[in-house]
Amino acid sequence: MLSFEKFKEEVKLHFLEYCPQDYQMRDVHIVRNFKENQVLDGIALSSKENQTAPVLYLKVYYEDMCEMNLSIETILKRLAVDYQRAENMMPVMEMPNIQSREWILKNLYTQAINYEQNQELLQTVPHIQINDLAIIPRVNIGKYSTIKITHDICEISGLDGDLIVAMAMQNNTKISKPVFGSMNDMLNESFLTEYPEDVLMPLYVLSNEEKHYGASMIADKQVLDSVAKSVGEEFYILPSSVHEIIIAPKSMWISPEELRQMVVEINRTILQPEEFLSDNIYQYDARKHELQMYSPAKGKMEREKVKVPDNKDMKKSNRGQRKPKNSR
Amino acid sequence: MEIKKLYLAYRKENAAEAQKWVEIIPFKVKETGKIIFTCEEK
Repeated sequence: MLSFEKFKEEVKLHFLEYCPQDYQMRDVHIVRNFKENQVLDGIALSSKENQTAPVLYLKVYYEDMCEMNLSIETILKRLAVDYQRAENMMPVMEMPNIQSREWILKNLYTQAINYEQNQELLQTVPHIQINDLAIIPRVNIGKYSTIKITHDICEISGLDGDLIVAMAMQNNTKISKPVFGSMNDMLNESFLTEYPEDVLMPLYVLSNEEKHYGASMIADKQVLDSVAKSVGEEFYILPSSVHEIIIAPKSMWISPEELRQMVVEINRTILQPEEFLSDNIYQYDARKHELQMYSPAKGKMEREKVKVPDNKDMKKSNRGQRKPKNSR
Repeated sequence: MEIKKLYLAYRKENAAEAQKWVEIIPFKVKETGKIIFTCEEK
């Protein structure tokens, strides 16, 4: 049986043989995409004309080949059909001019991801570390499309990585507007799912209007100060997912260890790999303006730790050193 | 634990919302330096 590495080589060499004539002038690339909490290898075609291309991840095709004992020819035929379909279904998008410093700076916002689980991804993007999280910059392209600002984009646009991160954090709530409300109210608004109406708990959700990558509000002290005023008491922060955080007032009398165990269980059973944010719970000290993380080993909250890497040198020092690592 | 029921309900609800989004991942072609924006299939 072919190894996955050999499989990728075979796909790169022979994919075009299974594609129509008008594909033959294109170049085949095996691309390595660093997604939240996972590294995925895919196939994408480039041509002189096209600025966009679908990417199909190869792992599922490789697994089908192995599990169903299919020939590589059968897989390549399927891949070629799927690629053409993906190309036809790809949304029409006006790609931004990524050389435009003004456009990037004006549209920056942030995403929070887990620091340890995203070491490969973090080699490709400027970021700042806060406790066990990393804050990375993004821009949206039209409705429902988003792109990470990578070191490559910084280089092309002539923008400094540290500046990008600082501007993204400063502008975050202009682009990604915070939304804070009770979880019951938010579930009531959706009308989509049957939910436990009998459960009346003073839990709150903090996210953004899009409900997408809204967990980055955890890094905005002004937003957390507003939350502290609204809640009117001390509270824990549960890292529900990369899309939102949950605010649990301390008057609920649930210990941080119990809350942490619940978060871990839900992280392992409900979340998709790309949605995972953290297993650790937090509290915000509004007097000190400090985000503290609970240490299960010490049984107490620890002081906020912020680390700013040298985002200028990181690009140079990591060239050619992007090695794959298994996701969690 | 009741808090868990509510948390689960919300998380399931919001998972559908996130599915609407498409991640564009830039890919730099080594040979030409051109950036291709790769778009994941939904």
